[in-house]
Amino acid sequence: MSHVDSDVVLAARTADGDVSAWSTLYDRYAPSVYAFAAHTLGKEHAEDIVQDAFLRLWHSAGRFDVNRGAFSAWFYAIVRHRIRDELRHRRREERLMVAGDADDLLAETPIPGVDVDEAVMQRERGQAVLRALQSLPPDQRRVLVLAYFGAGLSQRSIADYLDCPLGTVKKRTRLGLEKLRTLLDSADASRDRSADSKEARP
Amino acid sequence: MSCDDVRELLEGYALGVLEPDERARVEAHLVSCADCRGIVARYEEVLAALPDALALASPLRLPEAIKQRLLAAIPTSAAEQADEPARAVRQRPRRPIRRLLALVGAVALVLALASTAALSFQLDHERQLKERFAGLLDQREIVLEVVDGRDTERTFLRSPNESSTAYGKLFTNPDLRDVVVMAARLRQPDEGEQYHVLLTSEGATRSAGVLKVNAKGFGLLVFEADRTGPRYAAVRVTLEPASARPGQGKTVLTSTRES
Repeated sequence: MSHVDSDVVLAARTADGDVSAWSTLYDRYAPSVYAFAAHTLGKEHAEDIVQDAFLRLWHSAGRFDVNRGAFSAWFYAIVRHRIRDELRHRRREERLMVAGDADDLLAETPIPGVDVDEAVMQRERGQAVLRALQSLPPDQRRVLVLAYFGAGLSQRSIADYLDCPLGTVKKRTRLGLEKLRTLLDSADASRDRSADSKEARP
Repeated sequence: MSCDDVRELLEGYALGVLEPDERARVEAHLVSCADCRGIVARYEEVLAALPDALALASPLRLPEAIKQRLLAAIPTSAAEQADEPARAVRQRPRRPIRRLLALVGAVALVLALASTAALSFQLDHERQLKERFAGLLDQREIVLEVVDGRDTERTFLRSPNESSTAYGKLFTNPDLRDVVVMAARLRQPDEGEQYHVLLTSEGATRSAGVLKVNAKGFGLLVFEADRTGPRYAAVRVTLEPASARPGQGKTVLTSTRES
């Protein structure tokens, strides 16, 4: 997947002190980091999270190890960890509620058309996963979204919240993520076939 | 342990929702199984697309000013790096030069804790900020190393009172004696009162010093422990009468070890 390679190259250049590489990664990822933080912590905290995340990227990009996974997974793990730190101070019900709101948004938003702007990469990724999420069974999508955006919530508290057995939550998590992976694998495959020219864009 | 024993846990592992014993089983297996590591890495990549989907679905838009502030902050720290060799550095091992770039990160973290964000976060006015935080920046080597170190351990401090939003963090590093305590959203102490940081280790409790709180409710205390990599059984911030020996006052923040 060439877009992953691009992130890897940009991360390496950022580690060497290349501001323009950092800037490209910012354009690619900052809207998502902001949305993640704004929907879980509130807008007033989201700016802090974005600034903190990208300052950390600036001075810690060298710690990213391509052998251990995708750049996006590494970077969002940092962001999610930071958000989880903040969420520790919030009540569990509140965390479940905001994660539930995120799920409603993901379930109901019409898939926007392709448009070309500074955040094309992020939008392409977002589109594919939004489409995939909306084709998951709603019960499976909900446990995944609650677990991800509730950063740090246990499966038991999700089961209590949804008023269903723990085993059911575990099963939905397993089936949901497996299905999401399959859907995105096929989306990646079809995009890779058609997007070589786009990837060559500076 | 075979792949079959952990196969059903890999999704929960990638999401970070497993119970500690389940997580330990998966981690023990992953050490020796490249196949399962590959599956987890792919799941993590898939999950990392969720924020992108949320960004697309969200009506909230990233404020453009953030990038300008960051861009202004980054070259400033690079320029500082060039000045660095001329500056006297305390008796501590030299860090790789890139670590100096982390200075702005450390200041940002301090300010992030101060949390009345937008205004205090004018990183593009770093000069102004330096004056305001002159005291802190004198200690910046320490704050940076302790707060942002690779092996830094953080202990969260929370209010025993559910309705209070005050919180804090204590930062220690296994290689350093220096300890940093930060707290946010504390009210100004009344006349004749002050905040103390009380540390308990080996059955004894003592004050590490006074935690001064600014008008925004943010406080910072840096002190040197009696040993390298100190560990504390309990950490409290208390509001003490200035005239009495610390230890009698009311607890406003107390520790819960981060896992």
